[in-house]
Amino acid sequence: MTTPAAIELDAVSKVYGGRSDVPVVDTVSLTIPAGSFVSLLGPSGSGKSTILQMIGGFTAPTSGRILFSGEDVTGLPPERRPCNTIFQDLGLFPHMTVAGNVGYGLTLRGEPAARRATKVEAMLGLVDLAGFSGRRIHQLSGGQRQRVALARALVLEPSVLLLDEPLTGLDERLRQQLRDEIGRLHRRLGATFLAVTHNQDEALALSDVVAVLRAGRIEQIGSPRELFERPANAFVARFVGADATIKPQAVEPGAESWTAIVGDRRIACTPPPRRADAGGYVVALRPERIRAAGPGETGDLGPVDVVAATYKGRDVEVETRLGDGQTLKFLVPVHGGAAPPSPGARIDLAWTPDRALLVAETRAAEA
Amino acid sequence: MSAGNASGGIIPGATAGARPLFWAVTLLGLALVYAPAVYLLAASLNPGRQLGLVPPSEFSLVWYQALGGERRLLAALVESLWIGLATAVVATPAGLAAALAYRALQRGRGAFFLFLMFALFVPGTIQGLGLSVVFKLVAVRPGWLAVAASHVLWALPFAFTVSLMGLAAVKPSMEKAARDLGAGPWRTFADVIFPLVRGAVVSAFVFSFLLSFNEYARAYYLVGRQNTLPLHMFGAMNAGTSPTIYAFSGLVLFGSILIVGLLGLMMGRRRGS
Repeated sequence: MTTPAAIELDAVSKVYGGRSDVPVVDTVSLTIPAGSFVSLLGPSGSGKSTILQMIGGFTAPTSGRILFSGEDVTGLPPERRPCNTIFQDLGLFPHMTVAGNVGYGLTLRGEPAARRATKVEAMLGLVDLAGFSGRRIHQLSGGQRQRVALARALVLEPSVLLLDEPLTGLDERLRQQLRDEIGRLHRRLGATFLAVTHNQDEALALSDVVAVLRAGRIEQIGSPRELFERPANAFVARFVGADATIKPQAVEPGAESWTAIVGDRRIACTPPPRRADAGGYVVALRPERIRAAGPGETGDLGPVDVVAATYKGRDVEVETRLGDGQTLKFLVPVHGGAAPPSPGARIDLAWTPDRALLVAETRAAEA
Repeated sequence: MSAGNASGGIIPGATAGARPLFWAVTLLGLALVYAPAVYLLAASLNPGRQLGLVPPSEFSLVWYQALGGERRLLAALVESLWIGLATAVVATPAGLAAALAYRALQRGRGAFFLFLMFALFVPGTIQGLGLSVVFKLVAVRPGWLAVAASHVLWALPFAFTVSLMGLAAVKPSMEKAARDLGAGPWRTFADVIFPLVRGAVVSAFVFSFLLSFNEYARAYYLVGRQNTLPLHMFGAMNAGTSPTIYAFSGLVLFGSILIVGLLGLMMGRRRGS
């Protein structure tokens, strides 16, 4: 990579309490290229927020170093780091106006009042809040507050913007709107954005690179496409949406393709990116790519018993039971033409031409 | 308040039939709280020497005029005002600092809290006696300084809890945001924390002052030659009362109402802006 790294984590760990306690962040090394949009994706308790807090300077790592553009900032307080943060609950100042909030960082830098006012107005325009400068925070909607927080951080032209669950707590329409807006701001400003999220759609839609975390460690790091098509293990597969999983009785390795044996069926799978240890392998599928096999069609798996069909708005979720008792759920689009099978029916399942993924099972600690 | 809200009121589910009862209980409570003070006020307008009420036509300010001659009473008042002020000036920032420390603590919070609150549960006479012995050992002479020191101990738990409640308005993310935007710890306090807890700080100040102004037990052990106001008043009561004491109570009552009214006005204006 030729561009210099905006942020580097060098074997960073964080342990709360005594040294013998389980680390919240466990020897994480990560390089974030300048100008990129990187997301840390993981369930709660995976250590993603703690990593962001350490980069922002609000929590000191127990060991390891944090570098900004090659410079060690591990010991620096937040006010001396060249980054700004959008906090999960924003932390807007209720006793100041919108302009007071957005201009606060500029005031601290000693920017003259006239220049400050110009910059604040321009920034408010950029986040669609022109004319709101005199408002108080309690007079704004949730989405407007989110934009004030963005403006307050971005007006300082930081080289790195840290976003802690930026879209949590907003309704679906606002989420999409703000997600697009954050993407637009990133392209326009050219700064490095590092976001923390537990929502895979958010991470996949915005990021150049996604790091999937579990129990304080990075499970996989790659482009959204890589994660989607080549999940490193069962945890990543489930987290990025291949959460219809089956445990095969046996697997047969092959060069181009491995074979998983489920009941009397042989399922062709992509070779596993990582070899399994004691946990064995699972076959992972995207529930929206599975369908009931048509009459006369030989399915990829079956027969299975339909146990339940639950209406979920866009899709109907169909729960099936395999011969050996495992359950497998898949989605039938409500407006897709084919009617979902009814409970009690015995059907074959098909997903070709899609290929099933074979991934190593991950043990325990899954929140 | 809208008309649709009226039936809900303070007590949800209270039906129209229960409302007279509600008001009766409220008025009874208020009467119990205020009747003694009002009685004293009316009695202070009685020009006679005996405590009692007279018809309004006989009201007189004679005892109020006599107040000017009560040298020892006025000296005690001045002493108590100074001690109250000194107590509030020390206890308020100390209470706020303790509340900030409590929030910043990661472990030992419970112990810290109990340690601060414990002074509340030590009876005043015992604390006063203890302090008088200890002060003698370290050669602190009885007098206003010793009294003020004991009053700081007495007021600190109150100033601490009031500040702590005020700090609930400051979310940790606001402090973090200020730091993130470039403010050091002091600037964060001045620009973000203090403006948000200002009301609580004023309350803590007034509270500390009043606690000191009323305090008897500790002052009893620690005063020097000059009595504080409560001590003087108790003394005066025992020595056979001159009705000036009622006039004085009336003045203090008016003073208190004035101060609370002004504070309320100030707060109301701030909220309105």
